[in-house]
Amino acid sequence: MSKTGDHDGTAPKIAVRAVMSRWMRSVAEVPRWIWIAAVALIALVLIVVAIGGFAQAQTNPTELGADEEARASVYAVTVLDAEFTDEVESEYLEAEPGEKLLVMTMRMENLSDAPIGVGTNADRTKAGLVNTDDPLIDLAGVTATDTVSIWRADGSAGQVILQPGVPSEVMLAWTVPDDAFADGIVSLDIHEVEIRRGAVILSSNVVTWRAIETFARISVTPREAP
Amino acid sequence: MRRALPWAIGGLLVIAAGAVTAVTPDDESLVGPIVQRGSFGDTVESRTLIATASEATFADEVAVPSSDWSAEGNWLVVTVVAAAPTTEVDAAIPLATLVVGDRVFQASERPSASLIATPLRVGIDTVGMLAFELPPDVDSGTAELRLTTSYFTTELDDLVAIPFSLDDLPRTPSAELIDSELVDP
Repeated sequence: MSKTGDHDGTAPKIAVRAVMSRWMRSVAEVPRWIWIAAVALIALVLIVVAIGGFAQAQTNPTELGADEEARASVYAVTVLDAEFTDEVESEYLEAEPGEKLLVMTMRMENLSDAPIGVGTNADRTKAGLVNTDDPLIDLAGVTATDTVSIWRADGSAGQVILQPGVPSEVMLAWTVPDDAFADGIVSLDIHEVEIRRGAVILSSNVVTWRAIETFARISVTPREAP
Repeated sequence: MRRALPWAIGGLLVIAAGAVTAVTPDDESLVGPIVQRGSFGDTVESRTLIATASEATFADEVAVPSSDWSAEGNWLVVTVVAAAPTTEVDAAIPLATLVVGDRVFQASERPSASLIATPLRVGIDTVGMLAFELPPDVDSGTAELRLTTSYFTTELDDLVAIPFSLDDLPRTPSAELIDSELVDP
């Protein structure tokens, strides 16, 4: 038989009420200017967030033209020539009705220490220059309707692989809607690279080049094929 | 004494943790290839490949007469004799690389005549050529030819590695690449 303590839980309730009341008193004693300062600070942070103040810094891309090199940390690209056409006979490419082919001749250089594929992987390196969800070389403002075709104009065999430090002339063909680039100017966004190593399950030796900010925009005026 | 004991135990634990970290194998040791290294001109045998690098020469141009293709550059052409040790299933060299310093070069896909992906036979040698397209500054020092029977650098499997010197290799204005062919036993 107990004659002490609380049997219906009133004591803890009283204790909680006392703590709450102490807290309320403490809050009420905070000087009014601190409240004003806190509200002003929160409002400032909200405004900064709303206008993108905490977004990743984006520098304006360098505007380049034909024959001007866009040089990222691990690759470089120069547009040498561009043409709109309906077919590329040597590659068995033909535009469907309502589409056209944008064919660019580029000088590409791999500045890294290992080979990379332009449209494919080379060993365990996934460079993703084109034909990925987030390509390093991307048409600005226009979405291609098919995968990019890649080849060398000199009749070389195989998928195009860029060896370290060996510049190569590479042809790329985008399939685009017929009414794309109404002003006749084509712009390519060239992205800087973040190199990631390792892939879950696959291999710790997988190297992935991930596109980050656009550091250069190459604008050219393709000629129409005769 | 009682106060010093926890410090001593703590110090020992830190040293032990450092020792464990130091002796933990790196990722390359855990999943890297098992390198079967041999000299240039000698036959090197791995689990899935028997290979000999028999000749190497620099060329200012490589040409494939059968396809009327040629390309200028700083090329290193290596002749390799290869065979499959036990099975002809998937017996080929899809990936051949040349390691020069920190840089890795892949046997060029550009010439149609290449030992790359040529089916290999058991008991019969196949001779073929590998052409490496190199920057102009790569013409001396030590290189290592690496041959694998998978499309990627192998992990936890054999890799044939043949180191050799680039210093004394001859240079020819043009090297003709011929299709891989079987060698009479």
